[in-house]
Amino acid sequence: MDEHTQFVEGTVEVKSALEYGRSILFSVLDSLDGDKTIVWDRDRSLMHRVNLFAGASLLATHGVVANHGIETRKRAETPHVVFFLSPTIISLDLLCDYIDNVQNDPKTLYQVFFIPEAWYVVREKLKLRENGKYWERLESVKEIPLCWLPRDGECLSLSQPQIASKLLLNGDWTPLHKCATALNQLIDMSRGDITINPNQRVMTIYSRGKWSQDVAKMVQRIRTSTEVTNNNIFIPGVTDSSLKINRIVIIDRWIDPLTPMLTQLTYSGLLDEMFKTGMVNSIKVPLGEFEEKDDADPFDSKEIYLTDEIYHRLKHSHINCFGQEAAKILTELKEDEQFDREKMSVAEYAVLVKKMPRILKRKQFTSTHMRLAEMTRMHLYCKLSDTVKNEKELLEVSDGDKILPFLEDQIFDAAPLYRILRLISVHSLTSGGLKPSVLQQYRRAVNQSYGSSALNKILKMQKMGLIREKGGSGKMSCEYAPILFQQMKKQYDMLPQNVNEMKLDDPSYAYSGFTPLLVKIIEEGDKVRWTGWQKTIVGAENSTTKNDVIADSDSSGTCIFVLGGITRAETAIIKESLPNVSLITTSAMLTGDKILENITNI
Amino acid sequence: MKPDLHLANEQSLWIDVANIQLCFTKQYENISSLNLKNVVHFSACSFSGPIALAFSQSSSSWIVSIRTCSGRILKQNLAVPDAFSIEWTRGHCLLVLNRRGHAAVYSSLGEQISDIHFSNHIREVQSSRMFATSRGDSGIAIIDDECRVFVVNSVSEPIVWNINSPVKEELTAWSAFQPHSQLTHVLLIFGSQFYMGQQGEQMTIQPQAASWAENAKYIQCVIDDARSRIALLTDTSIIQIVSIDLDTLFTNLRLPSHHNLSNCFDFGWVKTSVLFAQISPSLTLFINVKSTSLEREMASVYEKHTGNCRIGVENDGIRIFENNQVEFATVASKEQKTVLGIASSDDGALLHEAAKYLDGPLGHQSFEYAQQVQDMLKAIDDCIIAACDSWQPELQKSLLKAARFGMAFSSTTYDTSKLMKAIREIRVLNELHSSRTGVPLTHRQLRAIGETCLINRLVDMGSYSIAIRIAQWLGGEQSENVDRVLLEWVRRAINKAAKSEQRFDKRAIEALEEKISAKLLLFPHVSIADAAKRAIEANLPQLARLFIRRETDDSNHVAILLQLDDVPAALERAAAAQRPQLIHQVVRHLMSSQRRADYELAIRKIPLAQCLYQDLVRQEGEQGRGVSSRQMLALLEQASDFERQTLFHFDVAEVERNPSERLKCTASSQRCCKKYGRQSD
Repeated sequence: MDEHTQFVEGTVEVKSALEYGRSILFSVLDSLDGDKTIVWDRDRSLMHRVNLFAGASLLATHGVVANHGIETRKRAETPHVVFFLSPTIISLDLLCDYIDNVQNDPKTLYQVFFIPEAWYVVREKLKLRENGKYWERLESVKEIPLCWLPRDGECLSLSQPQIASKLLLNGDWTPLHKCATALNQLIDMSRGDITINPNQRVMTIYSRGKWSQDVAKMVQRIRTSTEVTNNNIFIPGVTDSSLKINRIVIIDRWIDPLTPMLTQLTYSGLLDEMFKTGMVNSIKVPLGEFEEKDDADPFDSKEIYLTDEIYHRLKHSHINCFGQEAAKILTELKEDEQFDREKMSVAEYAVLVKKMPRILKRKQFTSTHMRLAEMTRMHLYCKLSDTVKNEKELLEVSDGDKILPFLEDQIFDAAPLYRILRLISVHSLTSGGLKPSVLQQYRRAVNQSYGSSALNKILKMQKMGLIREKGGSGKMSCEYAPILFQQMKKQYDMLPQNVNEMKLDDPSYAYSGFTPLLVKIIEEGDKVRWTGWQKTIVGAENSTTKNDVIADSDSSGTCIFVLGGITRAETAIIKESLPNVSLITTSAMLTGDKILENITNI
Repeated sequence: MKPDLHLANEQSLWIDVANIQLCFTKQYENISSLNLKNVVHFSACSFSGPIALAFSQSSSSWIVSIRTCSGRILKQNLAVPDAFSIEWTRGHCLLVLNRRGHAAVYSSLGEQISDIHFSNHIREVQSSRMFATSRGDSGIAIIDDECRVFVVNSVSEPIVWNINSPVKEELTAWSAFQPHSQLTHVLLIFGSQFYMGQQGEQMTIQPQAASWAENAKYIQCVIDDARSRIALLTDTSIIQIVSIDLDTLFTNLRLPSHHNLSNCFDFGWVKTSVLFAQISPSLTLFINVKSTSLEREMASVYEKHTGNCRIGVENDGIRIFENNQVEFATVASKEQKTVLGIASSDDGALLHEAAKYLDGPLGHQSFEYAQQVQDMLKAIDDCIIAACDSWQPELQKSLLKAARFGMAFSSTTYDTSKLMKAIREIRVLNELHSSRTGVPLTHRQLRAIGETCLINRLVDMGSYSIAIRIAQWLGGEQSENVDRVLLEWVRRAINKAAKSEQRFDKRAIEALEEKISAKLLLFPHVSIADAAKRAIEANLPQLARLFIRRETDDSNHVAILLQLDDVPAALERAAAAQRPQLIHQVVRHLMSSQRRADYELAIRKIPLAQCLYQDLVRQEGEQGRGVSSRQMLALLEQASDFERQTLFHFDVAEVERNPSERLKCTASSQRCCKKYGRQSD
C-alpha cells in the first residue's frame, strides 16, 4: 500500500464502514495471543477482500508474521495458524489436505475463519468428515463477516454479481438472505448491536420490487429473532465514527434491467466497461498500448489502482468533458509549481520541499489518467460509436417486428459476443418484446456465428428477462415483471430534450441524453419522501418509539441498496444529483458484460 | 404467616470450660419422634443435610427412613437387605454398605443412584470409614475380617484399590484420610503399634510413634476437619493429639478417673479446640484440648446430659439429635465472645449496647456508649459476624441494627457491601432454618459449601421453590442457578409423569404442560424448547409437541421437531422462517436418516428447500460434473422442468471435451425443447 501515498478512502460513510470491518478483523486477530501465520485460501479474491480492509503491513501490526498459501503446504512456525477460507467445499478439501500433510508442531493451534460467512453445510461437513478427526484438530471455526467492500470511495458493494442469475435462473432464494444479513450488519454499524442494546433507534426500510420487499421482511425477522449465530465474535458498539444513516431504501435492479445493457459514458464507467475494474479497485491495461510502444510484449499488462485523489475528482465526468476537468487540475498543478526561486526564504523552501513529493505524485497521477482517458476515448470512437448510436436510436424508436440491420452485420462480422447480446437485449427491452420470428432470426444468426454456447446464453438471458418475446407462449419466459419501457419513457421523461454533458447534476448526462429508470424512480421517491413505497420498521419491538422521529424530520442521510447491482454511471448520477443520498450500497458493481459473464450454470 | 411450631427460638446457652465458651443452641423442638430407642444405625449428612435412621426389621434386613433435621420425612421405609452400616457422603448421597462389601448409593430422596462393589472375596466387613478428600468429595474405606482394607477415593467415581495389613493381630482403631494434596493414607493401630501406608505402597510400622505412644490400647482415632491433626484415645482415658504424620505430639491429656471412656461409642472434634466423647446414649463429654504444655495435664471436661441422643458432626460443631429436639453445640467464635460475651467491654459489645438503648427511654445513654468505642470499624465488623453466627432472628436484627448504627460514627465512609451481603445471607439462612425446609445451615457452613452446592442440595431434596427463591436472593433474577433449578424441576416432573399411568391420559398431559409452561413463562430467559427436550428424553413426544407450540424461536423449534422426527413440520417451519441454515439443518437430517428417494420426495414439496437442495447438489459437484450432474438432471426431470433441462444440457455441452458426447448433449437438449413443445433450431 505504500505506493499509494495519496490513497483516498472516500466519503465519511465508506470510511466508517471500513473502520467497522477493520475492527472486526483485528478483534479476531487480537483475541489470539502471540504470533500468527495466516494461511490463505486458493481463491485469490478472498485475499483481495481482506486486503481491502487491511494490507500486509497493517496485518503485521496485529501479530501476523507470515502469510502462506494453503496449497504451498509450508510449515508454520508460530503458535497460531489462522485459516482464512471461503465457504466452499473445495476450500474444505484443501483445509483437510493441509492438516493431513503439513508437519506442524502438534501444539500449533488452528483457527478457521470463513469469509464472508460460514456456510452451514461446510461447517457440518467438517464436523462429520472422518468421524470428526479434522474438527477436533481445530480450536475454533468462526466467520468474519467482511461483506461490505468499498468501491470508488463512495459505494459499498457485496461483490456478488451472480445474484440476479441465481434468483431467476436457479430459483435460489438464499442470496436474498445473504443481502438481508448484510443489511442487518449495516444497521448494526449505524445503530449498534440489537442484542447488546435493545432500546436503540429504529431503522426504517423502504422497499420497491418483489425481491426488495422479501429482503426487507427478512431483515426485520433477523433483527427481531436476533438470530443465534455461532460467530460469537466482537461487534463494535456505536461510537462517533459510526455510520450515520437515517433510512435504508432497497430497490430491485430488475425494475430497470435496461440501463446496464447500455454503454456507460462516464470516465469510471468506461474504464469498467473496457478493463473490468477488479476486486481491489484496480484495472489491468495492456502495457504496450498504455505506453504507446509497438514493440512491447502484447501480453504484458500494467496494474493501475483507481484509489488516488485525482481519480476521485475525475471519475464522474463524462468522457467528452474529461478534458475540461483535467485542465482544471493541470492549472492547479501549475499554480503549485509557480514559485520564484530568487525571492524564496529558507522557510518557504522547507515548505516547498515537503510539498514536492505530493506535487510530483499528483502530476504522475494526472498524466496516468489523461492517458487512460485518451485510450478509452479512442476505443469509444473507433469501436463503440456505432453501438452507442444504435442504442440511442433504439431508445428513441424501437420496433420489435424487424431485425436491426446493424446487429445482423455485426453478428456476421463476429463482433464481441457480449456487445451483440447487449444490443439484442436493448432492442428487446425497448420494444417491449421481440416478435417470435425476429427472435428466432437473432438466435439462428448467433448460433451460426458463435456456436451453441452463445445460443445457451441467449436462452438464459430469455429466462432471466433480459430478452423478451412479444406475446410469447410463456416459453422460456421470465418470472419477473417486464419493464414496459414505452410507458415508463413518457411517465418519467427519460429522454429529455436538452442535455448538457458538462453539468454533472443533469441526471441524463452520464448516458448522454438518457436518464436511467432506476435513478428516476429513486429521485421520485426522494421527492415524495418515499410515500407509496413499502415501509418496514426494524427494531421497533423493544423500542418505545414506533417511528424514527429523527429520520422523519430529516430527509437526508438516505442509504440506497440496489439489489442486483448498479453501474458506475448510475452511481455518478445519484451522487451528483441527489444530495439526500449519503451512501450507495449494492450487491455488485455492474457492467452489461459482467451480468452476462456471471450467468450461472443450472 | 403461621408461626413455625418446631423452630426453637430460645437463647443460646453459654458454658465456660477453661477459657473456652461452649455454645449450645436448641434448633428444633417438638418434632415428630425420631424413635431413637429402636434405631440401629444413625447417620447425619454434613453441612446440615438430612439424617438417615435405620431400624431393624428382621435379623437380615433393615428399613431406612430419611428425614430433614427438622424431622420432615423425605423417604420412608426404604428397605435395604443385609446392611452393615449407613453413611452420608459430603456429596449428599446415602451410602448403604452390606456385610459382603457391596455398597448402594441413594439420593436424599431415596432413589438409588449407583453402587460400589469392593471385592468378591470379602467374607464379612468389620468396619468402615468415610473420609473427606481434597476435591470436596467423600471417599470410603472398609476393612474386612482378614484385615484387608479396600478404599475408593471418591464415591461418585468409585475405583477400588486395596492395601493389606502386615500383621494379623486384633485391630483396635483405624482410620483412612487424605492429607492435603497427598494420596489417601490408611492408619491401623494394633494396641499401641501404629501402621500406616498410602495408596500404592505397603503398610509399614511407624517407629516415630514410639517416642510418645502410651503403653495402652488405643481405641479411637479421629482426623480433624483441616486434615492436619489426629486425636487419639486410649482405653486408659488418655487423650493425645498428634500431627498427621505421627511425628509430633501436640497435646497429652488425662481425663478425670471417674469417666470411663473405654467403651465410648462416638468420639470426634468440635471445631479445633474441643473434643467430644459420647460415653453413653445420654451422656456426652466435651473436653477442652487447648493446652500449652506438652506435660500431661488433667483435662477440663463438661458433662452434657441429654435424653437418648445421636450425634452428627459438622465442620463447625456437632449436632445432638434427641427424640424430639435438635441441639447444636459449638465453640463460640472470637467475634461472638467479644460482642455477646458476659460483661464484655470490647468495642463490639459497647456498640451493641449503645444500639440497644437507642429505641428505649434511655436514648441518651446510647451516645455515651457509642463514644466509648475505640475502633468503630472493627466493632461494626464484629457485630456483623456475630449476627451471621447467631440463630435467633431477634438477635440477628439487633446486631445488624447495631452495625448500621455504628456506621454513623465511623469517620470514613464505610463500605456497605459487607453488610448487604451479610443481610442477604442471613435472609437465606433463616429461610433454610424454617422447619418446612429443615436445613439448619450455619453461616460458616454456607461459606464452606457455596451457593451452587447449596442449591444442588435443595434440588436433590426436591425443595424447588425454595431453591429458586434462594438462587434469586443470592444471584439476582438472571442467575444461571434459577434456570438450572427450573429445568431440573421440569425434568423431574416430566419423568414422574412418564413413569406413571398419566402418560396415556391426554388430559393429564395437557394439564402438566399447562402447569410447566405457566411456570416457565414467568422466567422469560428460560427457553421452552429445553422443556421439550426433557420431554423427548423422557419418551413423551406428545408432551414435547405441546411445548413446542409455545416456542417462538425458530431455530429451537426446528431442532425440537427434528428430534421428534417430524420432518414435514420442521421443513415447513424452517421455510416459513426463511433462514437457509435451518433448511439446511432439516435437509441434512433427512439425508442422514432416510433413503434418497424418500427425502427427495419430502424436499420437493417445499420449493424453498428444493432450490437449496439443488444448490447443495451443485456445490458438491463443483469439481467434476460426475455423479452430482446426473443427480441434478434427475431432479429437474422429476420436476418436469424442461426449460432448465434444456439449459442444463447446453451447460454440459459447453464443458464437455469429447465431441461425440457434446453432440449427444446438444441432441438431448433439443429433445427437451421438443418435449416442451418448441422447435429450437
